[in-house]
Amino acid sequence: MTAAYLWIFLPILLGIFFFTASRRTMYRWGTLSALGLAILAWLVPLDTPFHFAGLNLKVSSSFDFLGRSLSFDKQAVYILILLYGITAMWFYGVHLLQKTEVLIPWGFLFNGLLLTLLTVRPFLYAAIVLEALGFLLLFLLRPPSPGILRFLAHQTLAFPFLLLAASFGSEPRIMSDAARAPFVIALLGVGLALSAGLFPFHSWMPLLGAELHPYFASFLLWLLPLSTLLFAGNILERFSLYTSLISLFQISGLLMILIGSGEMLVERHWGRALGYAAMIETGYGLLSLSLSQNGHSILLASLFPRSLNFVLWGFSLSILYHRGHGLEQRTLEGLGRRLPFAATSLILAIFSTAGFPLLASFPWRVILWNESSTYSLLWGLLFLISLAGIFGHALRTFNVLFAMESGANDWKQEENLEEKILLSLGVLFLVISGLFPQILMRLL
Amino acid sequence: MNSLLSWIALAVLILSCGGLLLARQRQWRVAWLFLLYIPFTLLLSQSWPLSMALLRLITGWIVTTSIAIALQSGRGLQERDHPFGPDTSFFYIQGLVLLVVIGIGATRAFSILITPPAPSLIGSIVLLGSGIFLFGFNTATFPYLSGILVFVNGFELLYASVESSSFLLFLLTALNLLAGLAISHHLASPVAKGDEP
Repeated sequence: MTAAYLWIFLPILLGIFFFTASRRTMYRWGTLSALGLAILAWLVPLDTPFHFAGLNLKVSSSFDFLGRSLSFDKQAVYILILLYGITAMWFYGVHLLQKTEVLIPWGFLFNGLLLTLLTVRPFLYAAIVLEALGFLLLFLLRPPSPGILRFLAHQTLAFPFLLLAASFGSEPRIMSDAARAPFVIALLGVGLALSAGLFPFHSWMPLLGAELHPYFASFLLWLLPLSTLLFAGNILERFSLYTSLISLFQISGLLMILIGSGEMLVERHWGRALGYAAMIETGYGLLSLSLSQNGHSILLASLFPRSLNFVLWGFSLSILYHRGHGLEQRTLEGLGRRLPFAATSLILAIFSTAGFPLLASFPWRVILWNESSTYSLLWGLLFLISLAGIFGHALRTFNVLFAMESGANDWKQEENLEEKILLSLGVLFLVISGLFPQILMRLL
Repeated sequence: MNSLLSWIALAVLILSCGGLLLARQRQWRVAWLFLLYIPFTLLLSQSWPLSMALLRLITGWIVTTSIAIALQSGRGLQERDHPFGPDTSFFYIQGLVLLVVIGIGATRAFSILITPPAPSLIGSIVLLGSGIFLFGFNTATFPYLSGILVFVNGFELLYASVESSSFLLFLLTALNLLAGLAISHHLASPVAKGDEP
């Protein structure tokens, strides 16, 4: 038995199976399967024999085929636990929201592909997996949304650059040649910029947020930038020569957080605002990778709060979307008085993204702010300005949702009990992971 | 492969790309795409064994046939797609000439890293550029996605001189089939309202 069977091939098969399953089967078994895969990743040691139900078992970390392999290291296992654990949360929310069940089969397929992307060796084949992910997205929507088409176009343009750079980069003969090495690094820089949606190639994120159902959009805006960012992080960590790309990441990351938060502040469509949140998170991810010595570890540790923010943001926004019949600001005015749990959760998710104290992202924003300020005082200041932009969006959301005409007193609670429990649990997780960030660090 | 044959293949490839760019009716675009895979295979066989190149020809034809069937079933074969950008033949002919010139220039520039046969390199630049023209100037699904397909094929031609493993062939074949399936899925039938997530 190898890890690839359990966490790559099995989920892909499950995804194919769930296309034919009923809605009820899908959400129940989908959630349980995702949760089971996360727990298995937590409990099963790799490359160590263990005893289970009278059998001696061993799960090998590497799956070899035709001279290539899918290898799971310690970081990949952490991502596994996080990926399937958070996906189980997304899947559970499906039964409370209409027209979102298609997320389950696609979620399994995308998870399988994301793990292939991170574990394939030699890593140059990851570019082909990313391109395949782009083509798979085409099946989601008819006619295809401009956001998805743009994502595909960016991945297609990145594909030659990444494959050529990876191919030449793995040849010592070329990389030791002073004349050729900069050419290879330039190829990789362009490829990563296009693939990871670096500024100015980020436009697909807000487009996706505006076009799709908010639950689906938030899932894709969580998963797609995460895939490309982890791919970029893997390359930077593995090849020291590519550290010359760090300044590209720094500048692009800073521009993304500043432009994203500025756009978010003035945006009146809350789906697009979600897209800007994905852009900002990508920017923070790039800054983590480029500013700190332990950038990759900080990025990995911040994935849980980032994911939690997106789950809560997507779920609460979807509840508001169904009752408010749209995501334009004017259609959501005063809705917080009818749906106080969803409104409060949404506001807290935005505050958490802004790094509000005691909420999930706070410790990681502080670390990053510290690193930015150490690098340059101006960078520290600009970092704070970006947080202020998100904070402003949170305050405006609060104002819009709880706007009250003078003398009006029409408070209701239209969420059902299950929605209230799920939203409350989400907020509780936000607070706990903000209060005890060391738990995540220990996992790494 | 015979040098003269590879230059003839390049000429047919340029002609096919011109046809793809200039045609507005979908049935003609499909026909040009079908033709394009013949010179593409011939150029590919300069770097890969003929059996591997032939497999790509078959894959390309499967993809084109599936697109044609999808268009036929969706009654979209007779439709015309006009780009939102320049819509004059002269612009695209100029573009094609420019791509050939860039391709000829690239034969020297690329020699620092790879040395593919000149017709293959020029052919790949023409395919890459034509793909960008198609998906850069169109918002309609069919020309946009066929542009992406052409772009991927252009890169395959270039990359064939770097790696010629059967595993890569398998991956690229799978990618092309997936692309063909995705494009056909879109073109097959009209959208039912409320179908999308």
